[in-house]
Amino acid sequence: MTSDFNFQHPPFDQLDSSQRQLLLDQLDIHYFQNQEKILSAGQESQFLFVILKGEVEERADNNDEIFAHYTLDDCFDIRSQFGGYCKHDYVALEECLCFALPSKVFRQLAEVNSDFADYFQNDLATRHQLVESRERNKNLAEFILTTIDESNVQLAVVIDGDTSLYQATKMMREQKLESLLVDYDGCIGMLTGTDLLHAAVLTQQSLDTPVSQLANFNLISVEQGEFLFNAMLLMTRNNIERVVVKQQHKVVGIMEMAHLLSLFSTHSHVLALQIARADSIDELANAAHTLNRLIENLCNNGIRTLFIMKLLATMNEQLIERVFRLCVPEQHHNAICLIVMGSEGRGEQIVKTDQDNGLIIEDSYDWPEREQQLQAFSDALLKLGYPPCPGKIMVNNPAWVKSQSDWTSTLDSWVESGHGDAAMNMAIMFDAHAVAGNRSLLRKLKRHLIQAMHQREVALSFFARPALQFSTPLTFLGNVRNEGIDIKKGGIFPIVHGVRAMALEQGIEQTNTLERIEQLKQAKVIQPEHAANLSEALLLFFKLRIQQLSDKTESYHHIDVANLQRGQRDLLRHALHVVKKYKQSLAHHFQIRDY
Amino acid sequence: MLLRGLYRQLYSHQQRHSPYHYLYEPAPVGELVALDFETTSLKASEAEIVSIGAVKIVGKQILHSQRLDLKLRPGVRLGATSIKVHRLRHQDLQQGLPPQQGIEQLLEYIGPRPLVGYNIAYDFRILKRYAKQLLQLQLVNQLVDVGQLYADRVHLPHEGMPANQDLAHICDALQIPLSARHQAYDDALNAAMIYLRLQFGPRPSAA
Repeated sequence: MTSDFNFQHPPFDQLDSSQRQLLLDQLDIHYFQNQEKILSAGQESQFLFVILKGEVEERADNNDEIFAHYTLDDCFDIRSQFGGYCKHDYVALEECLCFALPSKVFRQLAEVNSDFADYFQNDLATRHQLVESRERNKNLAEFILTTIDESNVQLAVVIDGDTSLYQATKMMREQKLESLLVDYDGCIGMLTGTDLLHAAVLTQQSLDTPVSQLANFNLISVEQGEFLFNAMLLMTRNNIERVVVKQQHKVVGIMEMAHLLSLFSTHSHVLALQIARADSIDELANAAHTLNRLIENLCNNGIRTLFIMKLLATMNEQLIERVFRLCVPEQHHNAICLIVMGSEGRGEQIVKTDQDNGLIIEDSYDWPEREQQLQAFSDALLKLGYPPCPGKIMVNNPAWVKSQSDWTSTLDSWVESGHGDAAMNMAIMFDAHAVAGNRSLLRKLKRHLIQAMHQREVALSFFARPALQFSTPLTFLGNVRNEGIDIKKGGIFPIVHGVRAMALEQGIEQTNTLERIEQLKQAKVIQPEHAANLSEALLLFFKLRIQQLSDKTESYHHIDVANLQRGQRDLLRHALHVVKKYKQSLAHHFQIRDY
Repeated sequence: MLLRGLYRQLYSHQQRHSPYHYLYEPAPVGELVALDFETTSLKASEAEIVSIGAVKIVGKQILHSQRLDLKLRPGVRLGATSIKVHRLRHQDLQQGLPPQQGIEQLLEYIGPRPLVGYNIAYDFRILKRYAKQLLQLQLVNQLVDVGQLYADRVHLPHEGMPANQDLAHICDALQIPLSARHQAYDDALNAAMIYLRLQFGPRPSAA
């Protein structure tokens, strides 16, 4: 019995052992037949139900609207627990076994344990925080509990004690090493770059001095198999940057502070350096490959979604900028502006997305090698693993390479027509973000677009309309099980596009959706608490998508709800409600009827 | 069935002035008690009860909050094999109730209600022995064996094929979460869930 009630998930994990016992003592188990009505609208609730088996549907009492589905470990009906009546009917979709906790006991627990109560009374933003803060602790714990093994030790290069200062320096430089081990008659010493520098510059030793005179033989070491954390403590305590890793008195490698820290922050700064230093497409390809691994690593380590997205956006931007510099000579850069669009423009991609890019050229700037160089740029990106855009929104397509005045007139024609492709292109262009070249070219164009749309209510209303076209999949556990939901259509797109339309209306120049929401909040277009919930909902969708990605499922827009943990399912349900409410307010805001 | 009715009337008459008369009254409609014992032996004639788990079923609800979960102090040393099965050592049971007190509590809890369990006839034989020896009572409760109930309900692909009455198999077929087994109360609760599922749910099919 004790093992059946799941205390792993919030909010029940907040209860202490005596409160858990109280809860267990007061539970009953109720059985419901298929299609049996468990709670009726207007009824006062006597129990909080936690599902042990089966599925339950929450629907309006006139049967015409379905609000939510509940399954294993979900609880209902929370609203009516704090006095008040059930707002909807709850019906068993199949046979159900539910734990029934008397409402009286539930309220008693909520009274004595404020953390437990908070969970039910908080809005999405706070609830999300509760879940994430716990996950973060887990990550830290994982880091601390990692042990030193082959995968995180750097192999040490051992040189003979007679090697000269000059040779050692050359070797370090060629092999890009920070330190060497020196074998001097069986004694092992450490030689670092700093040691060499001191010897050569400060004490001005001759270049053929044997390194055995420079190395430090007083080594501090850790055993392989010890905790990483201990290695870190050892270095901090002794104020050193590296320790030797030994296995049964034999040196197996070196552990450096920088490397150790990067195991935690997973190479992000190293990668940025790698990109900045690259002189060829091949070197960049290397960096691009590392980027993929980095993202995977970060996801697996459960780093915050926002951080991953920002990091990926920055890295991608640097990569693309670097490629552009390598393909298009510097002299042209002042007269042109490379822009990225779509999710990349908004800085919201979580994988390396398609190449969505275009070019703005100053009026009457002559540049004969333009076509080959742009083609080379597109090819190089392809080589780096950015697949071509299916819609051909790429700089090797003349439709997306235009002079400033051509762009202006194109924008005008889009605004004028306002339908289908034109609206889509407008949306793409409005998300554009300058990556390389003269950024003011894009700024001017955007201002023009905002100006053109200013006060055109009908056009704006048409523009916003697609945000409402997909229904919000609140019934995600419908009778067809394992169908899952399309998180892009159901959650991300309505928010991104709705916010985009509002930003266009308000003349907000930011491209990132979260930043747009912030600006809209400051412009008092969206109320603060709605803004917070909207941002959290969007972040949650991104996060779920990232998780999906690491699960290696075929489509990462597709969320398999049944496999989510209860806490996350709860959040998802809440977030989809936020989307639904937002769509209603969007319809109202832009006067869209009959969508 | 008829015989049981006659016995019930007989004992009811015999006990008409005793405090145990309630045992022979008609059972409240829709109420049953799921029951399981952990014992020192598998022989009903000599097994001693070490723990009792019982839970009332009222309509479609299992009243876990009113459960009975008792440990009894055994009269003899426990056999090593039985300790392995239910994981109750001798010292764990020294805090237990004297058998008579435990049985009195149990009878008061059960009353005239039908008993539900897996292989319930075995537990009932032991209970009858205890009731007779300690309290000079004859028990006449109706029995519902969930294994038998399953065999009666399950749809088999071939006529006359014996149904698999193994508890793990039943739980699996009915998709009932099987909790940590071999604790009297968990087993009783399990039987209660199987009973509700078979009594009110659709006919299961042996896959």
